Amino acid sequence: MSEAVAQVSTGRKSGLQPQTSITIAVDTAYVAAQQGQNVSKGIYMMDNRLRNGSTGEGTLELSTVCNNGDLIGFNVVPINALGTSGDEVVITGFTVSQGSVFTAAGQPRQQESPKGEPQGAYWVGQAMHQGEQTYQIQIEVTVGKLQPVSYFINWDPFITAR
Amino acid sequence: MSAIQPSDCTIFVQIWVDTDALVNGQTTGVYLVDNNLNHGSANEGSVNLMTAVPVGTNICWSLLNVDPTSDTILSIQNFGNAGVFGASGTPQQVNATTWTGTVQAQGEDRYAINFSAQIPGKSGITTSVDPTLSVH
Repeated sequence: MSEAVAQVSTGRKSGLQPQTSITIAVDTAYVAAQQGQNVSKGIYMMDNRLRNGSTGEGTLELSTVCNNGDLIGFNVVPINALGTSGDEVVITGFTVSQGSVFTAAGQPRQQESPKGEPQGAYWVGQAMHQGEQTYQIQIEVTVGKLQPVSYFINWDPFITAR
Repeated sequence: MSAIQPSDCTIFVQIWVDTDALVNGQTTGVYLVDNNLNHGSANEGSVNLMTAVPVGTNICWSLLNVDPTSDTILSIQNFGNAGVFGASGTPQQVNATTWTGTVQAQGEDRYAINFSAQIPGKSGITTSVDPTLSVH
């Protein structure tokens, strides 16, 4: 038994306690094999709002149903986080493609990451307006140690605030 | 026998849990993914994950909360046996949420992962998933 093994996603550093949490798990080897182009698989989104009516759990196109006013946490993690590859994933930004749930005031901001995760892996936004929104999230996937290569991926999931 | 270290594993399976949706004995709110889509794994993001690997592969399983700020205590209780684990590959505990094992025999088997969630102030929830290992 070793106690030295890092655990992902167990920290609470930002101080914020989002009511809605979204996890993005990334198969970094798959993203690298696609050279970051046309990635429609290998990235899996899950939230804690299934009972609220969220759909698309476990896919790239998660449709989250949260309550108006919710803080919304976004945590991105490599699936091989406990391995020796050193692969890293971070969120580099959000834009809103259609609709307005975040509004300017609720636009996600980077927070201190959970233990064992790099800075940029955890962002928190807020649902400030009822309705539907298509937002674009961009992540940076870095693979390799000696000559790390970064791929930037973005896609368009959904949030409904009610 | 001490458990294989996660650093000696090449395949990682994450079991993500939405503890708000979790119900005793059911798999609602549970999502499995692995880092092996390149090599034939299937049903990613569901409880029916099928992990396809060659004989001899070391695999690491992690049980994780979708909410990284949650106080809920997650714990893997044990793994059911399966033919693909062979004589000595059955997963062993590294810590409460991390187990490792080796596939030692060819074939395709479902295997059970039994786990629990202790939400503060509520009674514990125990459930299991039975994903598939396809070993070539």
